[in-house]
Amino acid sequence: MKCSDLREQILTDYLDGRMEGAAREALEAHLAACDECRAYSAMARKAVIEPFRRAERAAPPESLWQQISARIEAEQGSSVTPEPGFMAKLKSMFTLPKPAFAAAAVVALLVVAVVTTRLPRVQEETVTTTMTEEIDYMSDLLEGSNHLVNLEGYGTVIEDYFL
Amino acid sequence: MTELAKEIIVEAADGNVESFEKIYRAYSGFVYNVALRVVNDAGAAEEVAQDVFLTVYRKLKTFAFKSSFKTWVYRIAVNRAINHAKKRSKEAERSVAFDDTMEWRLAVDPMNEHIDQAHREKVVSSLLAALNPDQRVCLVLRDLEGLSYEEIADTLETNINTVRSRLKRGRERLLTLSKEVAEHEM
Repeated sequence: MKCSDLREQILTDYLDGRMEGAAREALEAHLAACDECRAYSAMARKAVIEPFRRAERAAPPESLWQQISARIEAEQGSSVTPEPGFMAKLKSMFTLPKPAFAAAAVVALLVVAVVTTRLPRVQEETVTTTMTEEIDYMSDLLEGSNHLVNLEGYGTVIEDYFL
Repeated sequence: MTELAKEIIVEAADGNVESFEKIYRAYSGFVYNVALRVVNDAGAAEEVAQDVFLTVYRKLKTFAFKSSFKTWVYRIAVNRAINHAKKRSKEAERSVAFDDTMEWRLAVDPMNEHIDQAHREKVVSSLLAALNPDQRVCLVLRDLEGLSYEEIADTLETNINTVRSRLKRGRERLLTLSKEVAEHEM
């Protein structure tokens, strides 16, 4: 294996202690024989691994919990509880408040009543009137009545003169 | 870190603040440290940690116990920290990284064993500032928090090869900078 491939392993699995058995033995045999790779491994451990391993863990300030608990209590006070689960969300999508449901039901009944009773009657009356007028008009034409002429007149003196 | 008892999580999900405090005490060290190392600023780290725990609290009811609770919290923490780090404009990010690197080049040698804790802390922040957020998170989880490759992959919802690749590139970058410092001092 080439030095460049081995250095990739040095930077990851070897320095992180993930290399075992034959693979580890082979790599360490190479390090014993290759000065450059041995120096590379030593420098990587010292410059890239050890500064982090020696670093101290910072503790969060105590005020952090006070801020978080204050926010939680404020949310609980304004009845903003933790997010509901999936089933609760699903149920809420199909649930209306009672007054809203009652109002919606009344509106729906009114619409049904109007559609099934009032509108057909109005339409029926309109059709009947129109047909009656048409029949009268046709019968006047057949009978040669001058009633039609009078119907078109405006009842003025000039009209009477010409007609 | 051991997993918390299921009862504690269930009680906290029902709004019990005392139980939620137990969750906070168990994970606040990890959450705050990861935030601090990734965003590289104590004030911003507090903001991120607060955001993480409020998110955990609000989403507790949705946790279905199908996976590790610890990994679930870690995932929220890491995602929030990365998002915060990435939110900063590219120009600002570049400028901070450059300044920190220059400061580190002039003042601190990571291979110097005789430095005090304050300098050691400076070395760590300068090293991390030289990496992109994805590489930084991998190094923090591995070298500061001691997570295995498998745990890092679970937390980041990626595979082990991606974790290995980010560690390799991040460490290569730091090694190159270290060599530059060594040459500068000669």
